[in-house]
Amino acid sequence: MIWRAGAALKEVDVWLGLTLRQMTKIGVDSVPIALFIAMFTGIVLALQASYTFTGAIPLYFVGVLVGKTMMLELGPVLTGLALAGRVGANISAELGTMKVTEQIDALETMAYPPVAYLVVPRILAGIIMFPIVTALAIGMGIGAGWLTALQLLDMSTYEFMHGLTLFFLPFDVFFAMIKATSFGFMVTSIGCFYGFQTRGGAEGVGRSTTQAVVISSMVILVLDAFWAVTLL
Amino acid sequence: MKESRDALVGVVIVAALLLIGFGTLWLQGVSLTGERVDIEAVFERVGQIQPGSDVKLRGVRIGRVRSVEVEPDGELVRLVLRIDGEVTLPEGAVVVLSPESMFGDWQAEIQPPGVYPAQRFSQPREEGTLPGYSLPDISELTAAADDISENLGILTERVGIAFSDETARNIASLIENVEEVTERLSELVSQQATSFTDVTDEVTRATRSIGQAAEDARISFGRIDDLLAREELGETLDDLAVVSANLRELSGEFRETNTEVRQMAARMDTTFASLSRITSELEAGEGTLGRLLQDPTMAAELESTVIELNLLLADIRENPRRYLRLSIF
Repeated sequence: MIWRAGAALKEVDVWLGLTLRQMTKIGVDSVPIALFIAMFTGIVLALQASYTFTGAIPLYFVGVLVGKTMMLELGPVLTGLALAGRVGANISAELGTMKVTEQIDALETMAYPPVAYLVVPRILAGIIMFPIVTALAIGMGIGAGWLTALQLLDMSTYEFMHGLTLFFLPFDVFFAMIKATSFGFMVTSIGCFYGFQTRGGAEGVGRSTTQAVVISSMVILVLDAFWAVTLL
Repeated sequence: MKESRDALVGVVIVAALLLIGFGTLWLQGVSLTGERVDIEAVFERVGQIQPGSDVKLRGVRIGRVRSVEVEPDGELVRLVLRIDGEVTLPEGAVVVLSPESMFGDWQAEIQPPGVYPAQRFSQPREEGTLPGYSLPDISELTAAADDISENLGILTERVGIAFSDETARNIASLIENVEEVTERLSELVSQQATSFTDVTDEVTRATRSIGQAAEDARISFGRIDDLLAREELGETLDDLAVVSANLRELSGEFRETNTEVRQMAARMDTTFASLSRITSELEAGEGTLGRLLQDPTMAAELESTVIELNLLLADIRENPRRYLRLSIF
């Protein structure tokens, strides 16, 4: 599937116009759920950090923990998992339905390249929009952690920001974007793959959708570990 | 519908890119306003400093560490510090790397020279680069503490070996002696306390006297000042000059008188020598007078002679013609 998608990249006039629409579906429409998850993640992180740091460790390390955790781990991974459920399932169900209803066969009959028409726009949209959504989610998580520190932990803005900037490296942002891009590529690729592999009507669509979500989630976690091993 | 959807995608993408860009710059401490300058410093080692660590001057953050690189020859580590361009660094400033807390966050602090006189700062090979020194981190301190702990253990073991029953008895005896000495010292101190009190009183009195004397001196000096200030002083000095001249004249007279007295004394010495010689001859019974003084017989004879002379004179008065015959022709 990936190989076929790569080969279909040369048919720019087919996928270019469709990619923007997929970016809206995969990216823009996923922003609310991603921000929602990130907001509560940031709140919980700040509270758990303050609970853990009670005593010898200064409270400004709440900023360190929230910033580092959101950038390096929870921001990309939780966003990836959320989008694996939403986007991966959507792609798999949509393409699976097209498959079982023979719409894909019809495209081929009408000389439309199905991969360039259906797969490439989705994969490109996933590669572009996953980092965008992840960046917004990281910003939301850190912002929520900051407000939680101010309102619930009796910390000052200076303390939180001091911790946030204390161990910050630009590589942290690069690392988060690399992970999000890889997640986007894999989630959309797996969704397309299982959609194209759908057999057996509505039951097959459900099965392929489930498999797409499960496999995407597993791949996200495997990739998370892979990048941690190779880049950190 | 399609245009609004495209615009929404654009807005989301632009917002995310702005967030990534400005967020990264802000978290790095990059100032988008105001001038920033880079300064360099060299170190033998840099502890746990890393790009992004705070750069402080007198405790105030003025920038961040931009890069940490080992020199090509491997001898030194070069730090590039990006600081506020409006800050003026102290003359001959040095850079000290130190832990900001116990949790691995380090800082680069720009200090005036001489703050750490005992430390050996890495000296740069070129001008414009600051000397640097890194304080030991917690692991080095822990290692040093471990060595100290080990040495203390050995010391304790040796003390345990050396601390026998006899040693304990000696120490007990020593303590008793110390107690005795302490008691004596206490008594001595009690005794000396009285003397000390007396001495203190005397010192107090002496101090008062000195104070009084100082007061008198001050008054006297005041009077002298007054006297010096008056116009009579000139007349007094003239009188003193006259008195001095008279004294000088009198001194000359004294000098002459002294010469005469000295001559008189010489004559008297001669006279006294003659008298002494005469006295010696008298004592030796030489001469008539000496014999008279020394010989009682002669004195008796002289006495009888005087008596007879008196009788003779009496007889001459009564019978002048017997002894005197006057004949004119």
